[in-house]
Amino acid sequence: MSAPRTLWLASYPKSGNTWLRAMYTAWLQDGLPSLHQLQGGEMPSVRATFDQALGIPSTLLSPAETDHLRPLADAVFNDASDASGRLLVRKVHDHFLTNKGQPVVSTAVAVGAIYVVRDPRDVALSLAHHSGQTVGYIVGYLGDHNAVSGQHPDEVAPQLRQRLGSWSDHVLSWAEQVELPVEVVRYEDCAMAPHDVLRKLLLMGQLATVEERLRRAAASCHFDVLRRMEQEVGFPEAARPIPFFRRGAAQGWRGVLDGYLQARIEQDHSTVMKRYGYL
Amino acid sequence: MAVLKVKLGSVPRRLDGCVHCTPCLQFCPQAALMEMPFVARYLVERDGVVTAQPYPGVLREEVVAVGSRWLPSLLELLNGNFSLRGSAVLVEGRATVLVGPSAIGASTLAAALAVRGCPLIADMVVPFVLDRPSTVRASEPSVDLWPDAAGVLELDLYSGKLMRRALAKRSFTLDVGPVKPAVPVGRLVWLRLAGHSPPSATASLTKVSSIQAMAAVLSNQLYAGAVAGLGLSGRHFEWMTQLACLDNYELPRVGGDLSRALLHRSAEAVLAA
Repeated sequence: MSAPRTLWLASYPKSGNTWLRAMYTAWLQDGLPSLHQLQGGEMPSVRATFDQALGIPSTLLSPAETDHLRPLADAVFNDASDASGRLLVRKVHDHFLTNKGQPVVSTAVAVGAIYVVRDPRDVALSLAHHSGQTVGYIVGYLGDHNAVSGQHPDEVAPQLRQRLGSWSDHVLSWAEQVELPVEVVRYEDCAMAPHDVLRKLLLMGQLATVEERLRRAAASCHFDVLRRMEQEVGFPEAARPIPFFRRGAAQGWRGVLDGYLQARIEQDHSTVMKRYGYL
Repeated sequence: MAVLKVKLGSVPRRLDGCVHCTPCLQFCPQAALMEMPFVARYLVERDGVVTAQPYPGVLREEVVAVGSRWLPSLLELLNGNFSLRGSAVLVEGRATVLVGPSAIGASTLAAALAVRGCPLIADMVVPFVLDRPSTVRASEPSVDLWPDAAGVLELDLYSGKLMRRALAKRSFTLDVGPVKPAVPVGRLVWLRLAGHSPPSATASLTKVSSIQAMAAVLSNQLYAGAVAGLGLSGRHFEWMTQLACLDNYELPRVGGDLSRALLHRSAEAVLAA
């Protein structure tokens, strides 16, 4: 096995993962990132990536079986990147542990993880828009300890089944695990001081953090810039024919989220929300 | 190339003289070993003999069903031929090869074309024979579909044969006409996940350049890592060049959007190209 060079960029869906990837891409290129070539898009849950790495067809395996094998595929992916010698940033949306209590990602090939946490009231609105579900449904989904993504027993999707758990379960699974060094960053801080968040990512990846280049990269990825780029050239990672970069504002839920649903989120996730300054 | 014959028996964990190794695959010039976790360990010999050692509790039928779908690609490689992930149907005497990453919908589109009278040539893997013109090897006229796809195609779900008890996927025989053992390739249709595209744009074929076709071959071929170790680099380049010189098209697909209307439009677009 090659030296660890994978940095997991983990988050619950619609929590700013792609934004951070855009900043990292901008830093790497020292220029405006292309939405068609963002670093880190090879999620371990992408079925084609899994198949390519292991050389066996995931469509002949059950979700529990692919969960078990995913760390092996991560190791192959890490080794394949060895020639470049470059840090391999990879986005991941899974809960840290599988249903059987094993890490769903390879910890052996990882240098660490950055976990992006976002106010669940904003996540609910963004995810409802992204998935085409009602906000009420998504609020229930955020509170569901058994929530999964991509599991359809009667069909096959380009993504493997991803266990999410509730929003609180998800955050704690990454923040409290002890298998990997982890830095938890708040989405809201990405909006306020993006260069500080990018610096944390670079430090975790043991990369040089020249201040001027870092600030240039962060500034080039303002949310409005990404939204405009998507309007002009599209975003290949968007799952549905709707804009991926929508609002991006911190506290965008105020005045929009129904009072009952707000109260339910705050009740379901009060402990973790307090821990990260959302209550 | 010999026909695949699967027998049950003991299979070693390691292959002597291995020239390429991954966690699930090992290759030497005379044989390949595939570990299909939770199903079986398969030893494929160059003459077509396959020995399978099932995992505990796995039925022989499951071992054979999985092996017969995937192992021909290993056997072809041992005999100097290459395969793409996808499906193929016969259109006007030539193969239309539908290629794309796992779960892109190649099998469903192939089944939709078979329902329209285009005989099936291959499903899941499409083995090519290096020849002039380039040809694909025909296998059984069956296609693997998940229940939602079978429903969209209005197939009787229970006419399909379960491949594994752990999966709802079934194998359907759609025998709509005779196919020769080797069929010259007419065109390749590369299926690409559309992402942020309006649905109306997802059912038209666009011609792609030879360079784009080469890139598509590189990202959809099987066992690329073993090519050099098996001494097949020259043949491999020749094969890629042959494919790039054929008529190559791209068809965007929307992941998860399996509507009857969209499938109909995609099948009609393939036939009209």
